[in-house]
Amino acid sequence: MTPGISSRTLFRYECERVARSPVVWAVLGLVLVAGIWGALTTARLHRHQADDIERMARDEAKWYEDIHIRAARYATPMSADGKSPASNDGRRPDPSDHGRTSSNELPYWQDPTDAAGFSRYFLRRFAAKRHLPLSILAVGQSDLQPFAVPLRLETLFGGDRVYDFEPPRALATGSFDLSFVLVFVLPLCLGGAAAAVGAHERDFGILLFVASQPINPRRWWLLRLAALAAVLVPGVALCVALALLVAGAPVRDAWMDTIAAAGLVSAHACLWLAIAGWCLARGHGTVPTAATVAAVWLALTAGLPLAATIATRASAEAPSPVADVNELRRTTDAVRANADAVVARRLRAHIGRAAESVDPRELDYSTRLILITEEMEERLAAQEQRRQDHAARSARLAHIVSWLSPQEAFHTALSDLAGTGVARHQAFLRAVREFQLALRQFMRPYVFAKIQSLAPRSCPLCPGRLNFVHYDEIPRFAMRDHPASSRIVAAIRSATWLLVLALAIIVLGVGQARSWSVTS
Amino acid sequence: VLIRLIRLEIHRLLRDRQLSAALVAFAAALLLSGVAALLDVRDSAWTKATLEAQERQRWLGQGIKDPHSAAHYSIYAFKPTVPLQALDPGIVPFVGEAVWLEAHVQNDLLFRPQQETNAFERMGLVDPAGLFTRFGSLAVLLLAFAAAARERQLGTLALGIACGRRRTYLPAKAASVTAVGALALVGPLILTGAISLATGQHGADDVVRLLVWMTSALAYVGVMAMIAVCLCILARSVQMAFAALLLVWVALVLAAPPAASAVSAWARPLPSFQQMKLRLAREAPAYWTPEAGAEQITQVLRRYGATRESEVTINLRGAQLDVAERHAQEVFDREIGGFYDRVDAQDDAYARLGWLSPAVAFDVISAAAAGTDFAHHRQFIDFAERYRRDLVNRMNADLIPHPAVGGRLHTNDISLWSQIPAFDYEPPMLLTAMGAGATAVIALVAWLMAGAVLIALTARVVRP
Repeated sequence: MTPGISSRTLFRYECERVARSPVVWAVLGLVLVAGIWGALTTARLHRHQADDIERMARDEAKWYEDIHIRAARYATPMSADGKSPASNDGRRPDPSDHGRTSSNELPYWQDPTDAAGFSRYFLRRFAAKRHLPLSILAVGQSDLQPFAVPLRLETLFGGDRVYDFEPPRALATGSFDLSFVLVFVLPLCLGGAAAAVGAHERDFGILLFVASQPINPRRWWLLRLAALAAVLVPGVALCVALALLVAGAPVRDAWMDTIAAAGLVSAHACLWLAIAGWCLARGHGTVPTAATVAAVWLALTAGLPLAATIATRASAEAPSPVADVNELRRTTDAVRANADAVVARRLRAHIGRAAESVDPRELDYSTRLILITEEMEERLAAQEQRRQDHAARSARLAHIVSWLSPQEAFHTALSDLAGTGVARHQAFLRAVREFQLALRQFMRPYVFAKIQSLAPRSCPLCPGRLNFVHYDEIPRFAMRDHPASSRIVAAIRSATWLLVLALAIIVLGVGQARSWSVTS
Repeated sequence: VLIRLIRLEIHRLLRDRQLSAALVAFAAALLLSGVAALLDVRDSAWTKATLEAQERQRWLGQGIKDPHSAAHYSIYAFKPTVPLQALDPGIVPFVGEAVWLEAHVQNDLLFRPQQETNAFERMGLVDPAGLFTRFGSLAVLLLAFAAAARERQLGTLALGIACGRRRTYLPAKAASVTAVGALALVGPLILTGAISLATGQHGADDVVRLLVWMTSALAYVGVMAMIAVCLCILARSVQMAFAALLLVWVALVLAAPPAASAVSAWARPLPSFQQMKLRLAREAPAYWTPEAGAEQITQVLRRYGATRESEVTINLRGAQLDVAERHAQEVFDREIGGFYDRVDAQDDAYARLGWLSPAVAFDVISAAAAGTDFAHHRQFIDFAERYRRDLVNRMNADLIPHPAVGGRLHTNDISLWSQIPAFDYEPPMLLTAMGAGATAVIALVAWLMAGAVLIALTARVVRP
């Protein structure tokens, strides 16, 4: 080093040294290869899920096509003996066309033109959580939580309790996705690379020579850290962008999301470089620096979530869904034991005094089920509230943990940006419940109108009752996601937090790097 | 001489205060997670046993009703919590714990514990086996680093080899690291397993399971110790040794299980679960169309040698239900059974990748020995489905000879309900449900042998 060497020259020299280091290229190569593999794995999973959603939509469309055909057929009058519908072509139909040869009326549960029969046995709708453009970024909860939920009117508090069956062993081992590479592997790689490049002079016994040059240790340390960041941070961000591109993510269409992801990853990389830099500023060699980074990684990645998990379980007992089965069964028994009274009371609430002329025992099972479901939900409301309270408490704790652990903050931010996080899934479940209520709201008037109607059947000789044929008006589920800007703002907020932490650690490091620590 | 050397090395390792403190911290973390798991297991086992008894009472006390309504009412069956779940919950947090055994459908198991939790809880890796596999191995590498990485710099390596101890020097290092690692890491877990077995009425099979788990855990520690000692001795510097150990840990332990999982998913892809569900809904619907109903009646009439409904004096609806149920059972066997066969095959593919990483091999053995892998889960699913079929078929059988009289449907009471035995599932013996575990055992033994060969080769080629 010559006296008066400018920071720019020194920075350029350090950058060249970092760029020449095989360790740095090994780290970037590893992140790129593992990242591409991880992104492809997620892309495959999400492609299959998207295919499933399309398949379900096609199946549903086919189902309603069939219902339309049946409705038209059941709207055709039959002859008085109930065996030969007066079909247009005059041919004798196959008896199996209507299944019942002793009467011209279909059982209500086989009749899609009957409102009650349709509501229980034919109504088919599902709610789907479609993937966001950058879902490849993180598997998040998308391998665990259902992405498509079938809806029935009588299911309590929302959609059916279903899930897509991912191999449970794979769920237990965790996904090898891009977020795994970035959250778990990248910090260790960056720590190792920074330690190897940063402590080179100390490990090879030439730090004394450097110290004898007219250069401030603080400036030397800062420029070295800046050089590491100047090469590694854009390098990692570029690797992530490449991985996304190779896996088929629409990075150009979702350019704002992509930039947010790159910013987030850059902030994360800065933080881990700052941690490694802090060790170097304390005068640590390669091994202690890498060991400290690994220890911090261990504490933040495993220790803190483990402690938070134990604290959650100790502080508030989670409601046991298994134990809730008991309450469900007891409530079911209690309601069924007084089913007629419940049905009469509930019916009165819906149709007023007209209910007095209705014998609840004469009502079909579907109609009774609508009213019994209301009663069940009212009686089990406390259980549902407990479950929701626990979910809210858990979300609050997760929020706190994400601020305490930068690893958790980064992981959550990646999942939220990808749209595979817990928050979006909770929003999906709420939307599913709202949709179920909308479906009930749609069907109930038809079912109750049928009870109140004194008019004779519109077609007495038809197999179908023909009091419901509005299949095209049945509401469809559409999830209203928050706009992309809110996801991006959240990602920027997390990135800022990571950068603030990195800055704080750098300030600490500046304080440590006051003098040359030439002895190990 | 070997024993003396091992004893000496153990003393040397335990004298290192920082190292001892780190090991105590690891052991305490394992013990803490073991205690938390024990409490969970105890509560879960108690809840399920209580509910099972209440379900039985509900079934028997359901009063007088149509047997088909009884088949719909049916029971909830609960998957028993096995004692060694305290050691390794395996797939349990990711699969359901209860199933409603109702007529017409083979329901999925409900209530996956992880589905109710938050993201950080999944990241928390709270189970003892997960901690041991992922981070216990890191402690073993740390021990090996302390035992062997500075030998070259300090000149101890040259001295050890020069004294004619080339053959015993490295095995003694590996054995001492294994012994200390086993004491600090496997010890607390065995204690957890033993307490779990001691607090309930468990059979000899559970003891065998614990012994298998312990042996494989020791083998895992041994393999990691041998690899680490060889790397430390072969590395030209402490830095190189450290880098190599970190790389080995990231590759073999941290990344290998999810990577192997991804490879097995590529190699043995599963068909779409949703697609299978759609096929089930199409081929075995719970409620049939008029066309399907007519087909069922034709079948029933053929079975009774009649051509018209009026010629048979049976409950036609009951007979129809029976026909539909047996048809659905065939469809379930083909579709659901076939799907689970594919899951088994994928687990086999994963176990075979145990050749690439001891962590993968141990992961498979651990869950198999604890009785928490998919092979055990499937035994429960199959048992529950057999029970459901027996129950529903019996209800239908009671219905068929009793046609409605004067518009009144046939009903029955506790005399029929009590003919259905209580749901009494016993987890299978280890030997009959080892599943993919057998492949993994071979892989872990191979790793152990490869480690021994590596030690012998290193001892022969190492130069001070």
